Amino acid sequence: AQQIPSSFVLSGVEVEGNRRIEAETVRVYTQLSAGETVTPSDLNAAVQALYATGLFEDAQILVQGTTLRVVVVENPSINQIAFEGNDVISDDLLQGNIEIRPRLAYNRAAIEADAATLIAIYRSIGRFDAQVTPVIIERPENRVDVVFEIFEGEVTEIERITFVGNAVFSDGDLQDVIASRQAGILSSFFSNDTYDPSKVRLDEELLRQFYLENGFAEFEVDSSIVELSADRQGFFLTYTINEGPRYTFGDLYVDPLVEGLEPNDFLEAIPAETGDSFDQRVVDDAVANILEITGQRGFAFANVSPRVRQNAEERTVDIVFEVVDGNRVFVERIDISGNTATLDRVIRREFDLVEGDAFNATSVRETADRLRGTGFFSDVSVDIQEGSAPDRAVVETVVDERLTGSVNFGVAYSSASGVGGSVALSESNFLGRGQSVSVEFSTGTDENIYSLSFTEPNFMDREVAAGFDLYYQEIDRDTSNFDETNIGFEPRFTFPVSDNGTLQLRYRISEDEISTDSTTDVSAAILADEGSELTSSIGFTYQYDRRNSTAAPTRGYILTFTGDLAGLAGDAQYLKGTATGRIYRSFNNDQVVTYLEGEVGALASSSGGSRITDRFFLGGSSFRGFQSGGFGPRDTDNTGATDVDAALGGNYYAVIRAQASFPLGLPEEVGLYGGVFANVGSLWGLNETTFSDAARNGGTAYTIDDSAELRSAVGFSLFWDSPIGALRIDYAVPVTTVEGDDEERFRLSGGRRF
Amino acid sequence: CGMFSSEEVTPIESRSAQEIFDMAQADLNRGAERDAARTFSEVERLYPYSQWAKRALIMSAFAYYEATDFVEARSAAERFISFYPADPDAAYAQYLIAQSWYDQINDIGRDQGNTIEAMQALRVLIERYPGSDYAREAELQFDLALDHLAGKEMEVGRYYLKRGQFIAAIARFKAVVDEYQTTSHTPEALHRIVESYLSLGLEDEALKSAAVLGHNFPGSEWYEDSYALLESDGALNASDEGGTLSRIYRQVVLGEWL
Amino acid sequence: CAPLLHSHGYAPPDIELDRIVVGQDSKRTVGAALGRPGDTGILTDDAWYYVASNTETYLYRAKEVVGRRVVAIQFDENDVVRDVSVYGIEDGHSVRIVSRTTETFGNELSIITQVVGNIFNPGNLIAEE
Repeated sequence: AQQIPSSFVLSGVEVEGNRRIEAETVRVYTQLSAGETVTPSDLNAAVQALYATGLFEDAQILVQGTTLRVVVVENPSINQIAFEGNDVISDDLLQGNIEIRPRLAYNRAAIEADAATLIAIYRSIGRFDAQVTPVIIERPENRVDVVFEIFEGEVTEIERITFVGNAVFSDGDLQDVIASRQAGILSSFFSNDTYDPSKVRLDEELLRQFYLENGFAEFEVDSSIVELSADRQGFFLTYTINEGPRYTFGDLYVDPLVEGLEPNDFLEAIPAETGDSFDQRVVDDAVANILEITGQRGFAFANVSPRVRQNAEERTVDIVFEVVDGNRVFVERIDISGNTATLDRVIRREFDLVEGDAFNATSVRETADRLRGTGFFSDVSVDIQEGSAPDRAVVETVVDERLTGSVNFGVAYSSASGVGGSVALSESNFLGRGQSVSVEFSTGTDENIYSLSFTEPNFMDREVAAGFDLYYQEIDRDTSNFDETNIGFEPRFTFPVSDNGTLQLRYRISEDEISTDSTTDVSAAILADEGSELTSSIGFTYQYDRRNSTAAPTRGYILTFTGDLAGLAGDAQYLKGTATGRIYRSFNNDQVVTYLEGEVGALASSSGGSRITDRFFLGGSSFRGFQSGGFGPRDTDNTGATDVDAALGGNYYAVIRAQASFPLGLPEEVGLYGGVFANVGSLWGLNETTFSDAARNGGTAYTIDDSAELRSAVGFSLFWDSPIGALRIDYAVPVTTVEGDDEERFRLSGGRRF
Repeated sequence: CGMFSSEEVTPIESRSAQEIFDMAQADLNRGAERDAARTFSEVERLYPYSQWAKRALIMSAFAYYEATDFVEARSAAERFISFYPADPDAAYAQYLIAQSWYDQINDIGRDQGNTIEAMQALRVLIERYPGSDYAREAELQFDLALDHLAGKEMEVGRYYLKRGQFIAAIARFKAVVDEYQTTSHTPEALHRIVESYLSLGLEDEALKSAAVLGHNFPGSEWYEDSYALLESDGALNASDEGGTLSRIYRQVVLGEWL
Repeated sequence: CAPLLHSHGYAPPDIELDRIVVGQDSKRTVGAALGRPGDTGILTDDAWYYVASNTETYLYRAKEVVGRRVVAIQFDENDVVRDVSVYGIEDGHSVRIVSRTTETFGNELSIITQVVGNIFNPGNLIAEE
């Protein structure tokens, strides 16, 4: 090759071979311009720069005297991209994951990288022998089409999982603990029986956690071996573990090394005593409790380090929780991002921490849980960065929003009120303010409902959820042959009264009209209530919630008391009260969830007696096995003269319900759960029981039995967290019934198993 | 091979670059910007080396922008800049990128990611194409975007002020006074500092802040508010608040929560 | 039903404050002893303020600042402590803050965009009873 002078002053740069890209552009990329002194390394850098643009298949720089000849061959432009042989994964999904796009310049490296990405995608769904080969098809005008030919291969499943060294717990117990599953008959539907390396590490962690929670302080996974079966279709997983001895707690105490804190400040901080079986959760809970106590006592910067001592002979573990004064870290800023819809203040108000406060990790974690609890976000991530100095922290909160509302058109069918068309708009994060609004217009054969409801969760910056319901509804009560029309306005305020107690105060002003169309088959008791009545009442609901979670409770209890006093103005005069108590217990580490519930209600009316629209009704979802209003005081004409058969409701009721729900052995993705239930109770009491009806044996008076008769039913349910919402299907068998009750064996409704 | 033939593509394949360009231009004239944008980008796909390709690429970026399809507009403009960085229209392409971010800026209560992207794109426009007539408009928009970021700081400051967390509030308002002093929020920031110090009982700091406000922004309403506040030891401010009901209406229904 | 208590900010307690000697201690020694101040005044840096407040939330009432401790340390021109004083909540004024705000632009979230957005949300079609 010609001898290149060490460096020289450039007089000009000619460009050859370019077609789409202009000479000026090539010069710009080489960063070489006339008048500069150029060295061989500049030339090399220029060539590298040209390749780096990805626009050129080949680029050379030849020196002729003091001018440079830049000879380039342009990469063709990509005309179209296609995928062949993929049926498990759609074209769009594949296209979404690769870099090259039509119209961009084609280059070998980018295509190779995209092919590798596609192979990685197939590996992630367990197809380890998938192959992807890019094929380039020449097109006129120096263009190319890129076709990815895909061989998807078979799913490599886990054939068998074996455990070696487990003496205390059986293989079956450990199968439930780990995430991987042996391939069963349904394996082609579900994904967690395919081999995925990260899942093996997850299994090891789950095993370690399980053993640490059951007293095996020295537990270790010796090895986890994965073998590919001969026909490459499956894997064998073998976990060799070393349980070690079971330990119990030795001495447990808190050692505060901070001025102003005494050991007996932490008496109940440790939820275990000497001799209890060792459990890692106790250690974590103790640390949390201690920090709670130090936080309340104003030692914001304290932190706790548990010093563990294992004595192998006595098989005991001593733990000293040392409390030391940590370094003072302040919150410099709380930055919130990702909230393209939700307002900053709606998120910031969930923080107990204020900028300038002492940094407190538990408070940040609680806030993140509260933010997830709002239901506005599909993901909330809070991480702590160092601020402008080592003792200053910036709390960076990134939220991923999800759609928080729904627009439902369509036909709604429910066995209670027949077929209906409805438009329902609801939004639980209205205009990003955290307010919830729902509007419903639904018309049906039995029901026309026009309702608006609104709630502002932090009314005037207080912990008060203020809102109202406004409704106009016409309901055709065909079980009792009368039409009910209500128009009402109900403002309400809900606020916390203690850690677990909330109180709702409400006012109701409504006009309730009872009208009957044909007079022949309407019960005289209902005719007595015909006409419209103004109700003006104040009411309260007090709720004391000690469940371990609102979304999916498995332990604890919840008590609810309601009271409504009507008569401040308007015609209706009554005092109505209900009380409900529900206690949860769960078994087989929270798989089987059971609850027992008692509910009673009473309605005391002044002189005029209670009105049918105010009385209690049972049935449908409140008492499975019977239609809504299916039992209780009833006016039935068995003289045959009229076909009056009207449920009148009752002034008093008492019900006991029990339910147990459990997974059906199917993986969680399906979201199918089974359940068995039983309910027993009664509805009774009318103010007026003797009526006369001209059409019935000459209008002689007859009396209605309003005594308390026991009813009960048992049955089983199927719960499905379907993509369109939580569905519940019940099949109930009434056990104790009274002649004339309206039974209902099958019921489809919305609802969850908690 | 069949996979490439689908109905609507074959006729375009057989058209010349100019014909497709004119078709797209016609779409644009009758206001169908999105169709125009797609047709323009077909010119670039089918005839990447014709002199129409360059023209069509910038036109498709413009058409996508007019059709408010900002993502497509940006990717077309970015393609133009990578292929034709020295072309006089490159400045316009960068301008389109900046505008597409600028038009997506959210109000100050929400995420300001788009504001920052817009400022970066405007900065590139100003530095890489200083002579172009877009640079002048970019300078103005850059300041407006900066002003908007200051507005976000103020919104958080006012949040803490209203809840009685004065140190947090002062820190945010001082951030505006220090880092955003050329923005329109500085007078209000100074007044808020007066409000905060007065609430804490640090009258001399309040007086100093009011003095800075009066000295730099004598005519501003905020100075009137500060003056009234100091005269009445905090009880009065120049603007009237209206009764509780109007406050509830304003805060709950209109969302003006201060 | 007991009110919910929260404490915010940080102000050195009296036992630490008594160790600061006027005329002797400097910014460096005060910083080491008491830590970083919450705020350092508007113009010059000749005053350090430490503020701690206690809030109470009771039933339906707004979260209220019920106690505040403001420690103000003034320094002379060569950064030596000139005065140490402590204020309480009673020294503060209850200020009526202005509800007017400086004009800003930016797309608001409109009702239509939110409703349209929800149309493609099958998430909760079944109303839970």
